[in-house]
Amino acid sequence: MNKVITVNLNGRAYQVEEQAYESLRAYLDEAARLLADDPDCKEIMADLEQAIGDKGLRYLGSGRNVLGEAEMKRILEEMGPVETGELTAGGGPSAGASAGSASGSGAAAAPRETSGPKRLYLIKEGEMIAGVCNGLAAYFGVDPTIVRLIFVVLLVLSSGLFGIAYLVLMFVVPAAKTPEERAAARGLPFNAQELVEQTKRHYADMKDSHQRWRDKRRRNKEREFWSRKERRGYEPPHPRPFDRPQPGYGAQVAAGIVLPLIGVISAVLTVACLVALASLLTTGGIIGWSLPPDVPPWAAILVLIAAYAMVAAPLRAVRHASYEALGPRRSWFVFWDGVLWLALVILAWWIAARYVPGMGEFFQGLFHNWRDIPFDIAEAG
Amino acid sequence: MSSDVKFLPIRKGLLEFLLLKIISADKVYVADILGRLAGTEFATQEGTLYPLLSKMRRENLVDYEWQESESGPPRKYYRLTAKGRTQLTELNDYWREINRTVQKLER
Repeated sequence: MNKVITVNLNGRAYQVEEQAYESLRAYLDEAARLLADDPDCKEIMADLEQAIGDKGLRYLGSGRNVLGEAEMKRILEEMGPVETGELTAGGGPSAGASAGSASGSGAAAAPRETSGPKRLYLIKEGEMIAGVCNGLAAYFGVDPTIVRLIFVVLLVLSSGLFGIAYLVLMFVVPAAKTPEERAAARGLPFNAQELVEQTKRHYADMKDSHQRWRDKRRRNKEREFWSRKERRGYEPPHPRPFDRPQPGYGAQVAAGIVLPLIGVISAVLTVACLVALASLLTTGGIIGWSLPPDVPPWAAILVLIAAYAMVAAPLRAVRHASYEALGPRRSWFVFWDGVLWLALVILAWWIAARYVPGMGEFFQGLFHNWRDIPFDIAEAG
Repeated sequence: MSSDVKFLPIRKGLLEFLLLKIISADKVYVADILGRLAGTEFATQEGTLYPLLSKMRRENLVDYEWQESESGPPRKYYRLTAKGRTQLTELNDYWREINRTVQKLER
């Protein structure tokens, strides 16, 4: 014979055995403790009681009107432990994703409004300079090439004023980093607060990349330090602080072939750019071709420099990758690569001046016209 | 396999997404939801579901209304709000993106 206790589960009376009561009580107490911080604690408790009662009804009726210990145990097992904590604090999968991109600033604390307006982002996939045109293209739903063409035309028509607009956008517009942001890259974010946040974040990013560059330099220095000690017969500690996988022999040979080649190409490119630049400054045109009268020389110079940067960037990347492949001897090699490059520039200049018809006169003309440059720029501006 | 602790955070993170999916189909009450999840990797119990649903209601993703039932007391029937629907669309996109990434990395 067992003592029976009557309990009130969310407004309905149930009769349970004493031991069943004990375990029920323990479960509900624990639940109340866990949910103490939950703003909806009362409501959830009511829901839980209701659910327990509903489950209890399965065992009652047809002559039975008391819940025993075994039944209660099964019911509570079905209910499962009350979980809150991570689910309330961590938020859903979407909250986690947006927090990852926003590096602890104010924007991270307040997750993006889900039904917010469309937004403009910089898009770094397949960008030319900073992804402004790419982002604008996504925003208006057109091909990036069209936007770029329009941009260049506007740049020329506005005498380069749009270059400033580009720079401003580059700093102010956030880059789309998560898939959601890329998906949302169709609208303007702007209110003043966000603008300030963005600019701050970009500045922080810049500082970050500077920091990475410094770290890399420090690592390289460390490596040199230890390899010098090693040469004097000093055994470095294990694991060595700079240990990175050494490139294979093949990679080193390839780098040895690629580097001079890249050197020649980039030297020619540099000379070509310098010649074009000088020619623009002095004659207002590039060698044979002259600028349309309404385009100021400085806009053309900007375009030229941008074009040079675009072509030179991949070359530089290959070059740095090759340096990396050279392994321990790299500082020696980098030095001689620099000397070689300089020699090649001078050689290319000399060859151009001597053997390309018209170049010699052109170079001489350059120095004659040099004096006029400031006036040229002043007149144009 | 699915009881591995390492998978737990994945299941937990996805649960809210699945709830949005289930509730989006029709207005449902808790036993329906549990029934849909039972037997899957996401089998869930009341102890987890009620706190989560109330959190989602606070975030204005779901709403409920009381409905009389033939047997027993009235029940809470849940349905998605407009915000919940937007969130579901976003999560669907995100999920597809994740899948694409996983597949891309497998190659």
